[in-house]
Amino acid sequence: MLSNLEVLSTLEMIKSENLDLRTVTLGVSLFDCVSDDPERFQDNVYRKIVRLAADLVATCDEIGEKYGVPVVNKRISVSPVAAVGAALPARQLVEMAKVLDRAAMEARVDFVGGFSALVEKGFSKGDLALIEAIPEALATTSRLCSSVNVASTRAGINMDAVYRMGQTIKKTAELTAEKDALGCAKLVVFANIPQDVPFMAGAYLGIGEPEAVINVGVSGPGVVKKAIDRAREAQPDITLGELSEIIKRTACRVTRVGELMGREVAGRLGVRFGIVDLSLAPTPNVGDSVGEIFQSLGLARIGVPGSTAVLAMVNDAVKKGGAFASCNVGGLSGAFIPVSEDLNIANAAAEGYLCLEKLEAMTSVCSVGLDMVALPGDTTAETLAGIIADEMAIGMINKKTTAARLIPVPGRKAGEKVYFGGLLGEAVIMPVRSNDCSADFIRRGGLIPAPIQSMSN
Amino acid sequence: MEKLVLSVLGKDRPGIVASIASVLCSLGCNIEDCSQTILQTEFAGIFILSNRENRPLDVIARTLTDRLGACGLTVDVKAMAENGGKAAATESAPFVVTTLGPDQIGMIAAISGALADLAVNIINFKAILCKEVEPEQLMTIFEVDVPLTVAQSDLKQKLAEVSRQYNLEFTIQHRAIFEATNKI
Repeated sequence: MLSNLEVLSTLEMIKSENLDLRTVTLGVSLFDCVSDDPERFQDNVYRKIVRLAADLVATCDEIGEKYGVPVVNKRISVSPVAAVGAALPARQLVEMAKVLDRAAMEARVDFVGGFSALVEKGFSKGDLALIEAIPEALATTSRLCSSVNVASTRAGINMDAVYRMGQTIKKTAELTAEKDALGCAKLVVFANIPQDVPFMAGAYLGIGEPEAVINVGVSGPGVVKKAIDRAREAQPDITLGELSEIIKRTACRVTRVGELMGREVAGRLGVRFGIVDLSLAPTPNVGDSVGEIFQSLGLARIGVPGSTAVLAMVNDAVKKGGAFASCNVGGLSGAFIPVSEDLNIANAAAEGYLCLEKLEAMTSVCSVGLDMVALPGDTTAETLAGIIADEMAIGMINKKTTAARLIPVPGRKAGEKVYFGGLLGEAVIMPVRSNDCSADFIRRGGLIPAPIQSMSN
Repeated sequence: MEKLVLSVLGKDRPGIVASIASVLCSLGCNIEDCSQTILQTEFAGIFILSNRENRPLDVIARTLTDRLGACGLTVDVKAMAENGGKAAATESAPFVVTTLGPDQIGMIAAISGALADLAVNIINFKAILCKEVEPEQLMTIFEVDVPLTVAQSDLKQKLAEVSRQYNLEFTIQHRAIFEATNKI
């Protein structure tokens, strides 16, 4: 028998605290689609995705209905296109991007990720072609996401790739300028990219992954915030250690939902279950915010002194709780701080509490990086590359994933508001101090060697 | 060996279970299974007994009624049907139905009626009156077994009809979600 409290607390999590399954992502390997005939290659890709994903959305909706927990996004990740399409020139890769977009539309998924390259130690021909294709690919599709891994703890930082991505982000912004540079919201630069991320824009199916796999991402910042609020009300002198325990337990409960539903979706689709990404993923809605957790823990806003410590504690507690809930934890698994996708964080940035440098500091203790950060349109490619390089260095040295999803909005200045829509949200453009002061360093190129941390064998 | 079903009702106080158990012991009846609860001020208990000494039912009934009746308890005892009188088991899935809305006469009859129409068996049922809000709200929690032949959408539609009629909010979810979020 269930107790009243058990029933009520679960209902509360779903109804009032915005608990949902943020994403169910079907990974599809494209390696067996390769053909020396580009049209045949495209046809193979389209058919395979549509075939494997035919029942994805309906199945997710059915499972969501069964458990009363909505599956908000259904997505597809594919093998890195730079690898499977290594023989194709950039213009053919743009065509492949359109094929992926059409397949995503046919499967009725929100996004398809994997227009990706792994270049932390250098470029292959296919990698260069893919990076060249990114701006047009993102400008001519609506559901495609792209990611490029430019650094790792094992390999160091490919500074040529960092610079190239600075330029690619600028060009993508220009080609999607009429939509506030929306293309850049679907382009992430990574260090230590995981092979099984279910979240966009970084999702791709790693080369070591199975033929097809279901990876899921939970949500739950609202649940964590309410649990903290309740604990503080019940025990006004509660300590941070005790609050950390509450976050841990809450993360465990949230992750169990992902594990239960993800396994069932995978079972019904007849594909392997991969991982639960237990990240706290916010949306631009009140009550579904990571930023609000900072306030519940006693800070005026995210970004004020104490924020890095709070984030470190939250991130760690979430990991501990999630790891206990599932033996298949993967992806990013921590706390997200995407500026435009979290209303509270966007407001903290608009009000001046959160600056780019503080955001960067915070990314050294959480699971992602400079995420969904709108920047002035005149930010140079070299400055973007400098910001990316700093972020990559944090990931490389700390043996963790970091990422940069930067959006330099053409013609717009710091303090102006930009709109991306839906889960991508809206944000005020953050000022960049010392624009155009990094060019000599960035243009030098080459590799920043792998750090001593890489020598773990 | 004959099995008996005993039910006992009365105003709650310390010592009720001890009194019942003591009388049963004196009658040579073994308690095999029992469930008891307290609703507001009232005790209710149901006991499955094995009549080890094969005493006549009327003797057991009279003894229980006399001795427990003297303590202010109402007693009913009867022979248990073979196999507990259980109907042939149908394959089913466990779900939890909840409703919340203004307390009204007839709503529980309507909800349970909707469940019965689809042969959905109630395993556990609780109703909680929330007096702090005006008008008083009644929350009901039904743990049910839904035959696999019944589509969740059909059950949902039935419950939606009742909920509209009585101005209720309702949920229906597979029980596993409550276990996943509460039990390790």
